[in-house]
Amino acid sequence: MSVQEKMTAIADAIRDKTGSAGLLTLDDMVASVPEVYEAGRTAEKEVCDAQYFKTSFVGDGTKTLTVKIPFMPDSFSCVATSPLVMKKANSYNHIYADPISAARYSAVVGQVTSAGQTGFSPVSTGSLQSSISYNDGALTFCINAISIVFQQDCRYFFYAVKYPGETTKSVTERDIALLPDTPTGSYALEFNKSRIEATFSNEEWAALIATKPNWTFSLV
Amino acid sequence: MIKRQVLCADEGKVLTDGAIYGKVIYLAEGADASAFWEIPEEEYEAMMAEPEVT
Repeated sequence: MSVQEKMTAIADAIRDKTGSAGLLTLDDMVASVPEVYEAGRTAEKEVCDAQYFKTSFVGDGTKTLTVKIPFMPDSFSCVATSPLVMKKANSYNHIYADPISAARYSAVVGQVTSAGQTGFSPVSTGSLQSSISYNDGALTFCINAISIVFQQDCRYFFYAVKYPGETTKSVTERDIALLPDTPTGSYALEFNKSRIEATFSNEEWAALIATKPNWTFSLV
Repeated sequence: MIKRQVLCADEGKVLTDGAIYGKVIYLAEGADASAFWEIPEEEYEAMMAEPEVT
């Protein structure tokens, strides 16, 4: 690689970080170093500014998870830490939930089925399938499925995150923006009707889904 | 300009095509509205009471 090619590669890397398009002299490259550093730091800072929380608890044989946490999380997960839970039918071994999401299925649970096998179920939150609430510094997550519980005496690890500036609106807009424009076959996305109606005006919702004419959207 | 067909379920009903469920369905361009039928809301709630395990 010639010196010229190396200099071009350095300039391209700087332009990629700063968004500039013009020619860069050596002096320009030196002057760009703080801007490049700040661009990388900003992306990292957004992650660092997120709030994180972790704890553990012991199952009590019920369907309800109650955890003291200093904030209502945007996302949380709960994992059984004892391999023995796999031997106990109708036990939860993994839960992932996205309370900030307006999607119909905003939680996934992994469970030991009665056959001793592991199964995964998408779960609607804020519905008959499950509910999430946050009161007096405690998160309560109850899954109404009849036969599945947090196994008695099994330890679970719980962790949660809250992202700065995220709202149900911003998450929904991003989720829809990320949909492929030309899906293969029939594609549909289901949302929680009451959450969408509380988040978007009719005009905003119409404008948002108009960006993906090849998708069917359902409010349930 | 994009025009969508919008299906709205009657009071106490939920629309479905066997895979999608909704009280309001915003159909994709070219989607067939006749593929949807109504079921009683009680039937939908009974299905939702137990998550499907895969």
